[in-house]
Amino acid sequence: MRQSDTRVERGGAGAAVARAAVGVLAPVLLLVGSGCRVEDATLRLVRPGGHHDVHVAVVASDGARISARLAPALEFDDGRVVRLEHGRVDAAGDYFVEPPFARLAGGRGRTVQLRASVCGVNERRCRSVARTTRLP
Amino acid sequence: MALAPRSFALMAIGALALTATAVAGTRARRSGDAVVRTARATSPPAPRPAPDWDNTSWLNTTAPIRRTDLAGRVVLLNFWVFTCVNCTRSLPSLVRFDSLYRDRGLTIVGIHTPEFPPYAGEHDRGNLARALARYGIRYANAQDNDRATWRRYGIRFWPSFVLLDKQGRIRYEGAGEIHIGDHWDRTWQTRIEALLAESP
Repeated sequence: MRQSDTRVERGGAGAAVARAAVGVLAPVLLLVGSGCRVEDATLRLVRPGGHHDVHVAVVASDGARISARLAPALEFDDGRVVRLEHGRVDAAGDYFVEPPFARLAGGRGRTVQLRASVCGVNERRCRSVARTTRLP
Repeated sequence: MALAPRSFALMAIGALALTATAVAGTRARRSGDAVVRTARATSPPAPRPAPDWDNTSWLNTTAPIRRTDLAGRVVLLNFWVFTCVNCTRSLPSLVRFDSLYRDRGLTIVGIHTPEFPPYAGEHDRGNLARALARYGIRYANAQDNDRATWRRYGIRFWPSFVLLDKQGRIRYEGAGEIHIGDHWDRTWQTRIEALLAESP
């Protein structure tokens, strides 16, 4: 029993360490996972409610800006392209300061290619983002 | 079996260490070029041969320029597009470098690489010609409409810069806006002057 107790005690210590390690590990893994999701979710389409329900807008994640010099585009399978070029821009006309939008009634659920030039707020460079998504 | 919990604990700690290493690596890559470029500024990577380019549409030159035509000169490649804010803001620095160092052996080559498909107008030669005039650019520019040169050089951001030495080797690379007189403008100027001072 003593030996057994000792084993149990060892096991208990080990398990405690394991629990502690997993407790630390889990948030780290979560951080890695959420980081990937942030990368993938730089842009998302929304359809503002109210009288704007015929509009589709693109929203950038925190820390990202959408270039106004190259307005975002929705590319449809049939070759049609809709530019999301409406919306307030900064004084220099470089970036949108509100989500750029286009008038686009209907088409909910339709698959489109969303394309935009995205620049990090604290970066000095831009990258092209293109992702397949569904119209909201 | 009695040691299983301990083994599990060790495995968990090992996994934690591996994960932490991976996270650190990922963060280093994401936080990006600043770190890489800083390292390169103090300890440049080993020179490596620059890929050739074979763009056929050129502006500000009477004939296409090949990399081999530039042997003995320091070459600064600028990957850009006229719709890119960070790119156009960097142009005054490049125009200044051109005026300061062209006669001393520097050739700047613009590699104009569109971000969007042709409907955005970036592929249009006339639009590029107007942009060159607007920004006072005299150095040669190639249209890289199929992104072939962009891919050969492994470029990912606008604007990007690649500096070749007189032997046609890549010596420095970086991405990001530069302004006349700022840190990166001085850094690139220092690099250009260092390569110009080297023996052919």
